[in-house]
Amino acid sequence: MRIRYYMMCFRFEALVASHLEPEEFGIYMAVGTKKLASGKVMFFEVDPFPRPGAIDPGYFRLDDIEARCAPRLDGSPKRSKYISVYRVLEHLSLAQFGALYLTTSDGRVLKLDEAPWDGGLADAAAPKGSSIAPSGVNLYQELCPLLPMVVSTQGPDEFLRGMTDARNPVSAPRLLIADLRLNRDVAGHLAGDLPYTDARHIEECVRELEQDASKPSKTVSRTPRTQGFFRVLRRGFFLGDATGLKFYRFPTVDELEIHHAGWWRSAQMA
Amino acid sequence: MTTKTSSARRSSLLRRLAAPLFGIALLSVAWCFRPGDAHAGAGPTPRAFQFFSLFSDPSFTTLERTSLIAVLVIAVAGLVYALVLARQVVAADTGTQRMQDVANAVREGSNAYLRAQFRKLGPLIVVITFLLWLTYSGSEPVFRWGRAGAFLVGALFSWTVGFVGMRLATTGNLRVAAAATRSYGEAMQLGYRTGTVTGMLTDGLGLLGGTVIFLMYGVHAYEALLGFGFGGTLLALFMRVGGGIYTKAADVGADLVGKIEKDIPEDDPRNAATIADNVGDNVGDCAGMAADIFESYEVTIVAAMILGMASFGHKGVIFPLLVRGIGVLGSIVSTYTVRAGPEDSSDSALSSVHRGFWIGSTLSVIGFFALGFFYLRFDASYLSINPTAFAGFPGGDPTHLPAWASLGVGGLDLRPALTCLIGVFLAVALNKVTSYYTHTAHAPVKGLAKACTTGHATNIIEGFAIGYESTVATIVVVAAALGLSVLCYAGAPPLFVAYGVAMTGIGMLTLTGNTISMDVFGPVADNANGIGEMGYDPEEMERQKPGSYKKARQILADLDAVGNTTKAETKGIAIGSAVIAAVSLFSSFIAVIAVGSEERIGEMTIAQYQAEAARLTVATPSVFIGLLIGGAVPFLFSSMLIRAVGRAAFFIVRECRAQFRDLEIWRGTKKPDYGRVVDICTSTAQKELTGPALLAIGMPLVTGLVLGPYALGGFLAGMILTGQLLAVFMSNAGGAWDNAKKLIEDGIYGGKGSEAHKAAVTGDTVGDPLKDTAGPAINPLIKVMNMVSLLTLDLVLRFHVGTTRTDGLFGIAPGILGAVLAAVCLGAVLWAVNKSKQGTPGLEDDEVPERS
Repeated sequence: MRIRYYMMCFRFEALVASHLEPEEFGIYMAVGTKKLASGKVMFFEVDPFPRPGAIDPGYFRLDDIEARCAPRLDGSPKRSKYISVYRVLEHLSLAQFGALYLTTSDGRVLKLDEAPWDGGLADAAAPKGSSIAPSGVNLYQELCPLLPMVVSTQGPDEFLRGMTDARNPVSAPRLLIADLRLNRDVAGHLAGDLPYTDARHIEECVRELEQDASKPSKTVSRTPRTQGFFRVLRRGFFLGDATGLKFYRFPTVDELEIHHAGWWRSAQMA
Repeated sequence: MTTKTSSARRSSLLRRLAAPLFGIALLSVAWCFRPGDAHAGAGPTPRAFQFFSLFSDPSFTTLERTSLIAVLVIAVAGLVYALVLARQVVAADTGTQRMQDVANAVREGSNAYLRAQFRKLGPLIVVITFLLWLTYSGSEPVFRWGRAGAFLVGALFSWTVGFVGMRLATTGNLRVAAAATRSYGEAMQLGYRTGTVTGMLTDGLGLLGGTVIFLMYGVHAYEALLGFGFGGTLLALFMRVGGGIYTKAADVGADLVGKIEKDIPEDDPRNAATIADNVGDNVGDCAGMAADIFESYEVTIVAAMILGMASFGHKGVIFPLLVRGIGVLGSIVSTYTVRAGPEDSSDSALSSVHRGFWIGSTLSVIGFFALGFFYLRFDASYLSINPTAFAGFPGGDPTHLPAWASLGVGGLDLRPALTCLIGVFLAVALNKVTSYYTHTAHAPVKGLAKACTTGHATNIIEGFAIGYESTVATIVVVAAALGLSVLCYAGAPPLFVAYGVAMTGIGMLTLTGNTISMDVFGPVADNANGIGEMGYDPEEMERQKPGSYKKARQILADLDAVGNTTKAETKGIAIGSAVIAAVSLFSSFIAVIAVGSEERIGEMTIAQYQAEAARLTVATPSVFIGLLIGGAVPFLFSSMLIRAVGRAAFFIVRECRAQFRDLEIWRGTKKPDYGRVVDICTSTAQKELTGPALLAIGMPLVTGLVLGPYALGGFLAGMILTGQLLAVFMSNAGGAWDNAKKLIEDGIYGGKGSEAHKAAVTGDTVGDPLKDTAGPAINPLIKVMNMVSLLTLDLVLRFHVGTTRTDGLFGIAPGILGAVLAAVCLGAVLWAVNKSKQGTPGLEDDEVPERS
C-alpha cells in the first residue's frame, strides 16, 4: 500500500503518514472510526522527503516509516501514524506542499489546488444579491502555527512577508493564513450575515487602521472562534514566508453550489 | 429482577387491554340504555318520517328544491374539478430516476402511515358507529341509522380528504421539483393545483354530505347532521394528533441528531430521519390540516343548519347550503386564476395566490348577497308554516327590519348575508393578524431575531411575549366579528343571534378550497425543495444547460418561501373557525337542554331557550366548577401531546444515532435504512393517539354525569375560551420562533453558525411541538368535546348524579348508573394521563454518544 503524508494544519499541527486517500483521511480525521467525532480539519498533502532546497531535511524520522506504517494484520490500511506533532510547518519547504484539503465537521472534503496569485482576485464568497461593499481593510485568520485573527491594510503577500521576517521582533518562520470576508454595509457596520462573535471589536479595529495610516495591522483576537469559518472565506488560503507564497484559491459560490454542492451545504452548517 | 419483569409485563398487558376494556364498558353501558328502556313514555309521539319528504312537502317551493339539487350538482362539480386537476398533476413530468427514488421513499412512508392509522382507527370507528346506533334514545328507527350512518360517512369523508390529499401531495412534490427545472410558472401552478385538489375535495365532500343528509331527512336532519359532524371531527382529531406527533417527532429527531449532534444540513441523505421528516410534512400539514378544515367546514354547516331550522325554519337551513355552493363556485373560478409566469419571483407568486383569494371572496360576496336578495323573503305564508321565525323580527314583523337589513324591501332580511360577509372579513383579518405576528417582514419577528443576539433565554422570553400579545389581538378580532354578528340580530332572541354567529362561520369558510390550496401548497413546495436537494444532479444539469441547476434550486427555494407564508396564514383561519363553530354548537347545546331531547329541538320556544341560557351562570357553583375543569382540559391535552412528541423523538434519535455509527452510512457510501425511522414514527404516533382521544371523549361525560348538564355547559365555555387562547398562543409563538430563525439564516445578526443563530434554533425547537402538534390539535379538540357533549346530552340529562328522575334500569336509580359510567370514564381519563407521564421505555439502556 502506498504511504501518503499529510500535514495537519488545523485544528492542530502534525505530520501524519497514512494509507488512506486524502478524502478518506479527511473523513477519518473529522469523524473518527466507530467513535464518531465531529470537527472541521484542514490538511495538506505533502512530500516530506528531503530534496534539494528543502530546509532542515533531518527533522523528521522517516527512515523506518515503512515498518511503522505497515498495513494492519487483517490487511486493512493504516489510517494514521504520527511522525511529528511539533513545529512541522517550518520544517517543510514550500515546494513540498501539495493540495490543501478542507474537511467539514461531518467529513465532507474539498480539495484546493495551488493557484497563481495575481494580487487582487475578487471575493469568492460574496453574499448573494447583497448590496454590501467590500472593505478596504483585510481580515486574516492565522491558522498555523498560531491562531490570532488580524486586521491589516496589507495584502496577503506583504502581510506574510512582514510576519515571517526574522528581523521583525515578532515573527514566525512560516505562516498559513486564510483571507476572510470583512464586508460592511452602507452604515459602516459589518454585514449581517458574518457570524463573528466580536463584530463590534472588529469594526473598532478596522476604524483604527483606517484612521492611523502608520499602523498596518492590528490583532483582533488571540483565540478566535471558527464558527461559520468556511462560510466567511474570501479569496482563499495563503502559505508563505520571506522566500515565497503559495495561494490556494477558494471557489466562488457559484462553483461551490454546482460542483461541490454537498461540501458547501455541509460547510455552511458550522 | 423477576418481580420487575413480571410487573412490567402486567403493566404492558394492562396498557394493551385498557382501551378495549373501556370500549367494552361503554358498550355495556350503551346496551343498558338501548331503546325501549329510555324515555319510556316521555314526550309526544314524533310525526311520521319519510325519506326525501321535502320533495312532497308543500312548505318547500319548487325553487328551493331546484336550488338544493343545484347545490348537489355544484358539490359534484367541485369533485369533478378536483379530479381534472389531479389528472393534470399526475400527467406532469416526473423528472429523473434519482428524483423519483427520493419521492417514492416519501410516498411509501406516507402511505404506510395512513395504512397503519386506518388499521388502528377502522375498528374504533366501527365500534363508535355501533355505539351511536345503540345509544339512540329517540323513537324513530331511521334516525338511529341516520345518526350512525352519517357518523360513518363523515368519518370516511374526513379520512378520504386526508388520504387523497396526502397521496396527491406526495405525487405533486416530484412533479413540482421536475417542473422547476423548466419554468417558475409551471412549478408554481403544479404545486398550487396539487393543493387545490385537496381543497376542492374538502369543499365537494363537505357540501355533498350536508346536502344529501338534508335532502334525505329534511327538517328532521338534526341527528344525522350531528353524526356527520362528529364523524368528521373525531377523524380530524386523530389525524391532527397523529400527524402532529409524527411530523414533530420526525423533525425534532432529525434535527437533534443531524443538525445539533452531527452538524449536517437539513435533508442530508445520510440522516436516517430525513425521509420521515419529509413524510411528516405531509401527514401533519397536509392530511392533518385538510381533515381539520374539513371538520370545521362540516361543523359550521351542521351548526348553521341546526340553528337555522330552529330559528328561521327551512330558509334558515337552505341558505347556508346555497352560500356554500356559491363558495365552491368561487373557489373553482378563483383557484384556476392562480398562475405565475416563467420568470416570476416569490413576491409575484404570492400576489397571484392572494389575488385568487380576493377574486373568490368578491365573487362569493356578490353571489350570496344576490342570492339573499331573491331568497331571503319572509312573507306571511312562509311565516305561517314556520312560526318560530316570527321571533326573529322586530315586533314579529319582517317589514319592521331596519333599512340596512332589508334595503327598504318589505319582507327582505339580508342579515344572514351580512353575517356571512362578516365571516369573510374575519378570515381576512385573522390572516393579517397571523401574518403580522409570524412573518419576517413585520416588527414582532424582527424583534424576536434581535432578542436572539442576547441569548437563548431572551429569545424564549420575547417569543412568549409575542405569543401572548398575538392571542389578545386574535381574540379582539374574533370578538369583534362575534359582536358585529350579534349586533345584526340585536333585539332578537339568543337562538337567532346564535344563527348569526353560525352564518359568520359559514362566511369564514366560504373559500375553503382556496384556504386548503394555500395550506397544502406549503408541504408540497417544502417536499419539492427536499427532492431538489437530494435528487438533482447539479453537474449533469449544468452540463446539459449551464445555469439550470442554480435556477431550479432558486425556483424551489422561492416556492418554499411562498408555501411557508401561505401555510402560516391559513392557521389563523383554522383556529378562528373552531371557535366560531364551537360557539354555534354551544347554542345547540342550550337548545337541547331547553327541550330535554335532541328530537324535540324543533318544538322549542324562545322562552324556553332564554330560561335555560339564563341558568348557565358562574354564580351556580357547579357551573363554575365545570368552567374551571373545562378551562384546564386544553392544558392537560397539550401536555400529553408535547410529551408524546418527546417520547417518539427519543426513539428516532436512538435509531439515527445507531445508524450513524455505521461508517459507510456516515461517509455516504451506503443508504441508511429510512424505512426503520418511518416505521418508528408511524407506530409511536399511532400508540400516542389513544390517550388524548380518551381525554377528549371522557372528560365531557365525567363532568356532565357528575356535576350535571349546566356544569357541562360551563365546562364547554371554559374549554372554548382557554382552548382558543392556548391554540393561538402556541401557533403564533411557534411560528414567530421559526421565522426568527429563518430571518437570521437569511443573513442578519451573523447568520448561520452565529451565537444568535444558536439561540434562534433553541427557540424554534421549543416552538416546534407547540405550533405543529399541540396548537393545531386543540381545534378539533374543541369541536370533539362540543360534539360529544351534544351527542351525550340525552344521557347526561337522564343519568347525571343529581337527577331527580326515578326511571332507572334493573331497579337501579339513574343517578347510580350515571355515577358508574362517570367512574368508568374517569378511570379511562386517569389511565390516559398516567400513560402520558410514564418515562420512555428503554431510556436507561441508551448510551451517551461517544466522541473520539
